[in-house]
Amino acid sequence: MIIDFQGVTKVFSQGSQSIAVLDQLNLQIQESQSIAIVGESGSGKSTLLSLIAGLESPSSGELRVLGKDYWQMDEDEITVFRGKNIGIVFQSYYLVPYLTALENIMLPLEINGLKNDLARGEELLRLVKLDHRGGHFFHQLSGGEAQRVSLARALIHRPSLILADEPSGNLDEETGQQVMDLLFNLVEKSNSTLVLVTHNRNLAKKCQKTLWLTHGQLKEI
Amino acid sequence: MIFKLAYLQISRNLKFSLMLLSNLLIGMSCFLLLISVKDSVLSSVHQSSKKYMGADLRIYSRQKINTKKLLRVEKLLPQERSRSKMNELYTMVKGKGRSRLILLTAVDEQFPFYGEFKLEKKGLVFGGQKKSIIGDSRVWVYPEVLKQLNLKIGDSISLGNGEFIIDDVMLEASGQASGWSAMAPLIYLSFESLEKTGLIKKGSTLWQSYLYKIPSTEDPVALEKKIDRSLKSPSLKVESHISSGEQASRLVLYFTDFLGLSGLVVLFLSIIGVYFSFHTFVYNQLKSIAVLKSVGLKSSNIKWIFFLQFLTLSTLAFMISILIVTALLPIMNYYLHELSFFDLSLDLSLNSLWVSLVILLVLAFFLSWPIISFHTQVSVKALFSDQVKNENEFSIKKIFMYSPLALIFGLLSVWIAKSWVTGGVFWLSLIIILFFTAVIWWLLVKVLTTFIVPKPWAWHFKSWLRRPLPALLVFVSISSSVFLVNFLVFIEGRIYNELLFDGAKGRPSLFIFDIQEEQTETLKAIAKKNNFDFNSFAPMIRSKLTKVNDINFEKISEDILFETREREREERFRNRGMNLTYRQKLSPSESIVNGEDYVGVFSGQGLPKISLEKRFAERLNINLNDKLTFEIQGVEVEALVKSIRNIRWTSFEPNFFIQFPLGVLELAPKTFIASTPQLDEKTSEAFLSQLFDEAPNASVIDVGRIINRISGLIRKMSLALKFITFMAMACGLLIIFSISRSQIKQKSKDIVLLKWLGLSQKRLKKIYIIEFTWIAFLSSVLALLMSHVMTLVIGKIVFDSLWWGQSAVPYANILVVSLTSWLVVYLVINKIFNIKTKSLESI
Repeated sequence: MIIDFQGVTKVFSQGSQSIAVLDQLNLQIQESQSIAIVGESGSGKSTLLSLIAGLESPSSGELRVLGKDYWQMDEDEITVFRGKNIGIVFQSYYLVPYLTALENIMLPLEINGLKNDLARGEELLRLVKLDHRGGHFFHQLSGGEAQRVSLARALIHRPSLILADEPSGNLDEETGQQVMDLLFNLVEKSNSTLVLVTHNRNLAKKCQKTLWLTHGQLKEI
Repeated sequence: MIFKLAYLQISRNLKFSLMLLSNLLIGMSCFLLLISVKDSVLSSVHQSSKKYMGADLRIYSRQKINTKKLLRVEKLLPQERSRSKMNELYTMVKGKGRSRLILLTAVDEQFPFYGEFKLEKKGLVFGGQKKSIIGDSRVWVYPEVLKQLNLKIGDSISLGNGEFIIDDVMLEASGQASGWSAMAPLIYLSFESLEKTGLIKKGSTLWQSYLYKIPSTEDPVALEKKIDRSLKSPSLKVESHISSGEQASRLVLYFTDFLGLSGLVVLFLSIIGVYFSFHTFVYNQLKSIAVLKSVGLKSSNIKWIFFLQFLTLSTLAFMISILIVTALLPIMNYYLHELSFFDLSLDLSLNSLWVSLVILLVLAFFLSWPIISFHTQVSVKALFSDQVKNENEFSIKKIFMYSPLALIFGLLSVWIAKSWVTGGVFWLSLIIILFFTAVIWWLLVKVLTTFIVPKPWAWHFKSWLRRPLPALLVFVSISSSVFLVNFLVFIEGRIYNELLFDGAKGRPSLFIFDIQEEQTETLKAIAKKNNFDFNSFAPMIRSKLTKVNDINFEKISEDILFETREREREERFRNRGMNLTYRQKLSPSESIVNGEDYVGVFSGQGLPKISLEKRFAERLNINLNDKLTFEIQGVEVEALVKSIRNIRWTSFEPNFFIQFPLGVLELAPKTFIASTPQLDEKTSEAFLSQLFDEAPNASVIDVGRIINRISGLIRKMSLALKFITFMAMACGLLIIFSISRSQIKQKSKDIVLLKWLGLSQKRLKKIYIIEFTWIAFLSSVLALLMSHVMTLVIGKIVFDSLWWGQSAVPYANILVVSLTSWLVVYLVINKIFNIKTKSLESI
């Protein structure tokens, strides 16, 4: 089991009011599965991703990711665990601006003390069709190119789990389609598990399972 | 990995790196320069002081030293010692019908133990070597004597009753620890020759010194303290070569203290500039921080990446500062070497480098770490919601994170000023200024909220009010920076004016002392003959303060090392014998500040009412209505302190700390002290010549000569002060630039948003220029007011007079600061507008 949530609740306080964004939520995801999570704005999709990535702790409930219980780990241990096992693709591509495209891709390997496999970095650049842009900086890339770099960065260290938050949300339809095709293709090749958060039902259909997040609960569609 | 990322961040953010580097560079260069000057001055003083005194230690008095007393003191000295003797007195020399005031110096065969005499014909003559002036009617004279009297080697001169042959010309001489050589040129002779002059009479002033050479294993300062504690008579004094050197170089030591404080101002400004530059940089890296965290980099590692960058740039700035300071020291040397009695050699010592490096590293850590710690708290989850920013970006809690930095800066102030009082007052004033400007800002916001913001045209002020804390930081930073620069400008002008004596206008030309009572009428007649009246003619009675309110007034033990300059001054002051005078009226340079009006004649009832000088009273802790008991040649005289008065010492008129009314001291043994008005050279020469004939025992000081000499030095000091003030202004401008740039950059998103909403570039510029330039304008106006008030306060405390800062520079600063802010906003908005972006993310 890659992800195992049992009765997870996340409550946010706003002044005197408390809002349960996730309410007794259960989620089980198996290895190499691709899961789409859809839901309206404010339904808690990002909160769910944050919980999976260990960026936030639940108000109650049990939560295991790749067999690890975040409750038992301190922040640094979670950071190292995330760096080694989880790849994240954000809606806004978030590249480190003072690093080149290739340096951005290689970053997880360097940070996590993994083998500095330049050949793999170049291979990924080729796979995302940017082999001619390796030495370019963020401001020299288009939105689609920047997002492809961020895809490669999320996959370079062969993580078991990929979290993707609306990866095509900031791109035009055609570029978005290309990026998503690349994502599915790369995930399939790497045999990783994918959790994709999206508004786009058509995109969600490409995943093995689609879950709808509403009123703090997940329902399979 | 950490090193690589730190390196890439620096090398690929060159603009930021250069900005931060220049801020660091100005602060560090100034600091290093001042530390070097201070260290070099002290080291030069200590190194040259043996040569300056010509011995390790001297015991001296303003009168002939009693042999019994001397033997008692000598018991405290090590057995293995050598002794030499020197007598000095002011008198007139006559040659070819002209006379001049000179300092007559009698030396023995032994003198000097250190250093040498450099003579024009005979070359170097060392202590212990046979001197041609010993046992013969020959003298060595300063070159000025030959020039002034139109004489040459081999000519004869008259000194008192004796005739002497000029044997050689003294080019350089060791052993001028008394410092009297500043007032007249010297003539050297033997003790036998001095006897022949017949100038040593009862009542004449003679400075007698016994000089000692002690083994190098002995500590002369410790011996000085030991002997000083044992001295019962205030007339006998002891001085080691180290104390003597420091005393002689007081001017340069005070000057370096002021330079030190100015350096602190530049350092403070530089810290503010560095804060804004570094803060902007880290703030702009928030997304990168979050991304690095998302791919597994620990917060602690991210902190080290930023700290390494800061450290690298600081180290680089430090190294460049070393080069700059190495280039600047010869220039400083040129300006400073005449301020001391020694040849100063300013260099960058290893000690200065170490001290500066340690201080700067500590400051760098406490400045950068709070910024880094705060911003690395950013959460990765913010990347999901595209809200990468630090909540509570500025808070009161954040200010407290800087308390260690503030504390270290306070300690640094004390250390540099070498005074808890000066350093502490500087630091405390800075804290008060920061607090005061914050309060003014708060009031301003209240006024704006009530009266301005409701107006439809005033909506650009809203960002101040809705996010008041960042705007407060800007306001406080600009106000305090401009204030410090203005204040330095005012104070520099003030010091210059105070010491420049408005040229020599209205100042006396000559001071005549040791006038015997029976000579007063003769002197007045000589003055009349030369068509002038004395400015003042005051009696002077030597005394000792024995009791205050019937409690013995004893010397305070000097067991402790003087930790501050003011303490040292106070101790020296306490141990002096005291001169009393009596007069009916106050002089024009005196004014009562506390107590009764001065009554000039003693009524005969109760105790006489006396007046004390304000600082004299403060230093001795004497208050109004205290009863003082003086001993005048064995006779006790009691008096009540009934008034405290200010004296404007720069009037250069004879003034006294303790002033009695008429009818008390008239019968006491006394001499008189007189001052002449400003005289032309011819009148002065004629007067001196007649004085020499009629009253050869009277001593004369050429005040005009001292005033001119000091004026020259002050001019040079002023140039050095102007240089440091210029550095402060450059630093201030750089700060305004950093602050404006940092703030407008943080508003980039708002600017792009408004652009998207259809606001023209012109309108956008107008909005932000108004917002930023108003802050800059208001804060620099406040700074001007504060600097005027502070100048008034300091003027009152230090110079005893209210003084309104007189310089156009602080007024011009309002314009310069507003324009700089305007220009930065203009350029940055242009840049933001010209970026071809598809989203806000590229900013």
